[in-house]
Amino acid sequence: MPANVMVVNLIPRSLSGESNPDSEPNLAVNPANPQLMVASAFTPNPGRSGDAPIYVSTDGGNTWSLHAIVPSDQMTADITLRFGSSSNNLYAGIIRTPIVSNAPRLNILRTNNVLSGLPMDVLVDRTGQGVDQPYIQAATVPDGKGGSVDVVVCGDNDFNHQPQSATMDVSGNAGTARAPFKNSVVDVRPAAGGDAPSIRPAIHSDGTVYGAFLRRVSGTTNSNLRYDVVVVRDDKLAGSNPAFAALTDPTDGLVGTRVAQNRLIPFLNQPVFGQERIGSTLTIAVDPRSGQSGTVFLAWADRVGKTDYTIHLVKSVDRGKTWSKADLLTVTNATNPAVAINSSGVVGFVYQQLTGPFKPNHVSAANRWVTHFQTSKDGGTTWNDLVLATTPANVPPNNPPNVTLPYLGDYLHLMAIGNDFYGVFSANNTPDPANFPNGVVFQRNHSTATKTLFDVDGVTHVDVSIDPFFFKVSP
Amino acid sequence: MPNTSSPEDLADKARFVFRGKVEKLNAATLPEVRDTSKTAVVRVEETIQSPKALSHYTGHSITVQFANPAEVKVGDEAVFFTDAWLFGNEGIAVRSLGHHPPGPQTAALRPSEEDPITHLEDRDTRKHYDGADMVVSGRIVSVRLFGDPKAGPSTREHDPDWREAVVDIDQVHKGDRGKKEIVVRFPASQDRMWHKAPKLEVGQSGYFLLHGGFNTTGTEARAVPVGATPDFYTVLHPEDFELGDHPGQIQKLLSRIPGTGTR
Repeated sequence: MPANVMVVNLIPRSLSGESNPDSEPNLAVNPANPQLMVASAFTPNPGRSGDAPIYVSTDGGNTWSLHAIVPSDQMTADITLRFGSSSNNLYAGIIRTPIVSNAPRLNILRTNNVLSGLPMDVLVDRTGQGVDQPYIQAATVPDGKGGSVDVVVCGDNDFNHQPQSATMDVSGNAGTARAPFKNSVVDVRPAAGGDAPSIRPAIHSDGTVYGAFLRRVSGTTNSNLRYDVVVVRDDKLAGSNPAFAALTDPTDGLVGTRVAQNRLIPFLNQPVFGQERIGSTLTIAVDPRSGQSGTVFLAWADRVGKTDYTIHLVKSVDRGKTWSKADLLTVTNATNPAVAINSSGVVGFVYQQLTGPFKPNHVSAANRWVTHFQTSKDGGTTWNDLVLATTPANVPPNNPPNVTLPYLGDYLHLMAIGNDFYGVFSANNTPDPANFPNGVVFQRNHSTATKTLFDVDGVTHVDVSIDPFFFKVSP
Repeated sequence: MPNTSSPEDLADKARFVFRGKVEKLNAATLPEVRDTSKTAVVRVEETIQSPKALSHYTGHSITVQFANPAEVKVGDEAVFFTDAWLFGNEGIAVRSLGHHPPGPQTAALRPSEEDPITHLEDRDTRKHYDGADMVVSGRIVSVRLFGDPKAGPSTREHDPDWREAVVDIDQVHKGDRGKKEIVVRFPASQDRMWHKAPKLEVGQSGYFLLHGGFNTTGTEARAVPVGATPDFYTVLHPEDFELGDHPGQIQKLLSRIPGTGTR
């Protein structure tokens, strides 16, 4: 493994027998102590009861264990995680189970000690018509009185606001016992239907907060849905009134810059794309350096031809008012983009690309899911590519009667602390060194010689499945 | 908390039940357990009931977290009723829900012919059966879309995509024995929120554990008041349906419950 790249399979040895589809990972590294980090996936409590688990590392990602501390029955239906910058508080946005109705139930959670064994505290509990895909960000900022406060911003698709369902749950003081949160609608335009599930915030310590969402503009079937890609901004830590109203579109004068308009984004909730579904793919990140909050990167996926799913990466250097006319990167047949900028201004960009001949609803041994991590030291003009994983896209099969979606996930995560990039992705877990060109460490029992997984007894074979993989790159 | 609940009540709540001996106080078998003020190292002498992931520890020492660690001392032998807390590279840690000294009551927890995994599965199935409003066997005669056909495209990834099956009842094993036909709703969605729910098909015959009161119309409110007879039932749990020609947990249970009568 190159000295500056670390890839670790998160499944601990005591769970060597598991073959769960552990997709849709997320990651939070504690900026105050980067040795402490947590990760999540669609991993159920192996005890088949009790709280949902998260993965925890206390040694900088070298080893991981699974801790059942999330108050949700066995697993969550969505989960994202983030630490405050210096408070040591961990926050989570989850869709909580059990299912009690059609309507997904949002919880925003907090703990100040992930190792205590105690369940996380519930700060927000909202259902109504339902809430989906909470994506949480947090930052610790000065409170103006010599102390500090945790600002938490959670993007979520809130069906209580129809059809403009893109909202942000914001707390300007989430570390306190009361932890007041306010829910703000960020889509102000007339819409032709509900916004897409991905609503993403990004926080800069100077008070700038960006939000991105996909606003539906037309569509009569799931195959012909069209969206605008919209970015909003708030300059007071999302505490303005109204919130997220600092950007207006130069054409229609309404709140939110339309970075791209009328893009075809089919919502196909079947295993159509390398056994994965498609329909809502979005990421946004702001340059964390002092005085650089005007530089922001945005990526989404849409269909530019007849069957593809294509990622576009663009950039703004004027606080989201205008955006690069041409893509900084265009990646055909790819999903799960995530972007981050480190303390030197290096841009990191991770995504998962389906290679081999592509035919919708069909996958073969010629198809692979390739997880790339690209970096740019010149603001996105030139890129250096690392392949973190290249794994068979047809294994494990996602066929009836055992179809489960998402296959790899509707998202993954990338973040930067100091000069280092930290990320997580899910992939086929065959312990084949050729699948991980920059190296990999498995905790679970395995043989790289026979490319086989073994149960805790070290003898019984275990089926290949989808696992989460942590990575760290120090450019 | 020892002894505040009966062994049977505790066994109903706990996943991992074992007879063990306390080896060390304020200690742990895992480096991830930093605060050992409420933990002890306990050797598992006999596993009584267990999910598969916890079934490998007979003869091994594990970490147990107690609400009140003063209630145990080194050398104590007890039956511990626990839930999973932490899975690491060096073993596991569990949370204690309570413990009892070994005796006739704890000995009765495990039928001698069953392994610990099967024992827990059977207990779960029995609880699931007890929670069902109706249990029937029958044949699916139709499956249709349920919902507003004029509704626009849904971009909700957790949309259940409801279907409605009509079942001709052969036999009622629990519930209203006057029914001859019943409507069963199930989510066709393969989303992670619903993928384990049975996907019913026309022509299938089998056993149904049916639940009323679930709102399938899109809000958090219950569809019918508690105690009222629903006009449809749902199957959401993987054990809510079992094919007749693939005997599993439901048929095994029915064969053990007097008066439920399997065909």
